Amino acid sequence: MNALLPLIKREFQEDFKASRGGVFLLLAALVLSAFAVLLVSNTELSLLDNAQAVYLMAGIVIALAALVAVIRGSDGFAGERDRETLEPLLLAPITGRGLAAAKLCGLLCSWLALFILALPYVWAVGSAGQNLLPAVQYLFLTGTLMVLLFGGAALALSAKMRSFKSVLSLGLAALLLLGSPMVLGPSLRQSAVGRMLDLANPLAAALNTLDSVIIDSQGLSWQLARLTIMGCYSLAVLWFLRSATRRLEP
Amino acid sequence: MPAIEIQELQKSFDGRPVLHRVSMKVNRGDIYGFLGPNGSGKTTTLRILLGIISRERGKVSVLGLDPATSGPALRRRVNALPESHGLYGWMPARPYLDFFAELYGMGSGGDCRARMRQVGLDPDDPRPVRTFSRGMKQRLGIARAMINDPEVLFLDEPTNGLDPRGRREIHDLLLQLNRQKRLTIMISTHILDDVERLCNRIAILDHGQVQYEGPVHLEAAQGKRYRFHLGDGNEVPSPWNFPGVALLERQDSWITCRIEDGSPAEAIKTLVLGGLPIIEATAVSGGLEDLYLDHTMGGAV
Repeated sequence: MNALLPLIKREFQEDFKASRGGVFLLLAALVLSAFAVLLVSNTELSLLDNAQAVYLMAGIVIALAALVAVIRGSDGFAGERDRETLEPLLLAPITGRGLAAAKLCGLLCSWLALFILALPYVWAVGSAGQNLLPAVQYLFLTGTLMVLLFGGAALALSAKMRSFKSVLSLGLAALLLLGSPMVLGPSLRQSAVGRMLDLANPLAAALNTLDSVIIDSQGLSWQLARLTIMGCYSLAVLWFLRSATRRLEP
Repeated sequence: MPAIEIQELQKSFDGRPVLHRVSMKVNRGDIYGFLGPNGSGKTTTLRILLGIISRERGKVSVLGLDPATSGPALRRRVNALPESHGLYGWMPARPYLDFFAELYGMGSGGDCRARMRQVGLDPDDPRPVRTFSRGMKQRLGIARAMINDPEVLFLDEPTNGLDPRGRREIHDLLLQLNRQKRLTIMISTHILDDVERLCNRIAILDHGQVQYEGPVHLEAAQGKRYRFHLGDGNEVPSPWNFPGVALLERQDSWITCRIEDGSPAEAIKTLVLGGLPIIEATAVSGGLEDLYLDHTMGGAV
């Protein structure tokens, strides 16, 4: 445990002192700003009611969180191998699992920073409407689960595969695959296949949860099934990460 | 108890054998040179000794601990400088050392400043590590490898890329640590000058096998080497039958011999009396380079 704290601190420092962390946050701020401007200035989007605008903004934040988690997770071990900085860490008296835990905490710190950055945007588009507080609460909850899921999976792959580019390509492909049912039309999503895809897809579960909370004003009991699905996926990914980092090699 | 003991170590990658029945012993306080061409298995051996990769067969003991089962406990007592520096380019040197000191549970502060001064770096230098010269990075790597006051230090190419003055300073530092703290040092390197200056024993590894293990001062182990010119048209007798003089190589009217017994003058007398018209004799180094080449290129010894 003693060794974990400096590792988590270093992950956090790398996010905010090294250039890559600053770039991520700047890009996230640009995307959120552009989207917020669209929501208030575009003729059609500005006609959306308040809840729908909050839901769209929350969806963008979830997508950004998953994307950042995949990129940073892929970099976790494979990127350190590429930069040849992994070996000195392996020489220290830490287990592979300890390193993985620290890196996962680093991912959660990045998510926390993104969440704090997103709050003013969510407030700006949704302050006049209802469900803002539940929207923020569920955004935090589903975002955390998505970061654990996508970031953990990317970290586990990055422990096993040697090239950062390969892990990143695989992670982005998985993210696109899971995101693709989102672009199905409402009628297709209501079909049997669409429902099955929605049920099995953790990203869909996150967005449907936000939809249910923000637009339909439904309470926790309505969300339990989807939250359970996301939780199970996250636990499976954490188990995979644990076994992938049992023995880390330089 | 030796500091490091390896018996019949075997390791392969993707079915390709990398280490084949490697055995060696390093005593406490030794500076042990580990030589071999690229791909001979030196780095793999060091990584197995540090417990960061697994072995397939054989016994390995470092300070009495098995690296495969006691990795973290062992790594509290040993440290290493890998061939790549593995530094965080965005961090200044001092926070970098503080970070590793905290990883070892040693706390940051005083020790790190002392370590930096010891290797000739300024503890208050605010520049990020990426702006450092190669020599400064190497020094910082050594300071990191010393951060937990190890009992055994593994160095992979410690003077690679350093200028002669930088190399000399690193040599002096390592000798000082070895003498003052009786630090056991295992150096994997291609630079034979490092080995000759620092090491008391060496192992030469080639194709995953130990080809030589013994003292580094070769006259005792190897005998002296001379190159003789016999004059054009003179044949080298076959079979070779000159006691105390071993024929190593023949090329046209030149022969290279190792004088195993007696002085060079006695050996020349033996050859001349035996019918070899020597018109010129030259001492060849007979040093580490020959030993290295003989054991890594299939030369006769």
